Amino acid sequence: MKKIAKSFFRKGDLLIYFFIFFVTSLPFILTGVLKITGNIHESLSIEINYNGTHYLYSLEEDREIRFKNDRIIVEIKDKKVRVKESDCPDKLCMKRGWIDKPGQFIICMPNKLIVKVIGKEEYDSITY
Amino acid sequence: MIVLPTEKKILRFEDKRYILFFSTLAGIFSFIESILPKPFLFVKIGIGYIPILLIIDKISYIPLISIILVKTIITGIFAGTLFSFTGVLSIIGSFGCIVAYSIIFPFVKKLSKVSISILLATFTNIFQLIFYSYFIVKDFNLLKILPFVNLISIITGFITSLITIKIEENFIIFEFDKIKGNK
Repeated sequence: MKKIAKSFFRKGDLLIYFFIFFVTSLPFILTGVLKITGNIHESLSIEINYNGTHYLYSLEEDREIRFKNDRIIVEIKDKKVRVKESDCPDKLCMKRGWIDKPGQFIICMPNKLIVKVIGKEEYDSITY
Repeated sequence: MIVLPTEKKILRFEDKRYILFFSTLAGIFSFIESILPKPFLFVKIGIGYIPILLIIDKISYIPLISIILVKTIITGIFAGTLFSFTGVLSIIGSFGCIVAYSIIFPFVKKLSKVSISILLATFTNIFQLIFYSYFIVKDFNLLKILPFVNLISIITGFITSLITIKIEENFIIFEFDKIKGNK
């Protein structure tokens, strides 16, 4: 019985478990340190292409961007962006809703408007 | 019934038949595991390490390293993945296992099978993850999944050790000296 118990736990194991706990928490510690020292830049921005002209805005700041005498309104709110108002016939750009992930975009063909979130793109999936 | 050396006697490199036996056994176990479907990259029980765990505290350093290496090569040949990406990943995992064993070798007898198994699984997966993120994906952000990978290592390592302990209890007699022909 004692032998079986020894197969499951011995005093030296504590060191191993402590080491595994340390390695497991390492990413959290490193991320925390990098965030404190300000070495992590995870801020996203949006690129708006209207009628061939490029505009760049930060996604951190809430604002409304107006084009075509306020007939097109792009809204940035809570680190998300959407086309709030548009005078296009089908309103597909408005129906697209909020976008916030890098690589996502909204296109309004009648108004020649493209809104795209820019940042480090995440992976959809990883295979091997 | 399998007969292994007594706990007092340490297996030496000269006992080639044990090295061959356990390498082949580990290779066959690994091969069986390699053909089983895996839900994620790092999720496998690691039954290939059962023969290694059985003998880890009854064998000297070089023979165990040999068993790990031969096991990896045998698995690669059996599964036909020796020079493929999976094969390379397997070699990296084995390298991680060797590193872990090298660290714990001086006090391996003071550790339980459960902690040894978990440590080997953790090192194997960490090495594979680092290799995968640096050479394949080329993005160290993937290391953020390290806690998740370690959690899997702990679970699979525990299961492997449990199977090993059960095998030890029920199927193995440690009476190396009584075998005819042995010194």
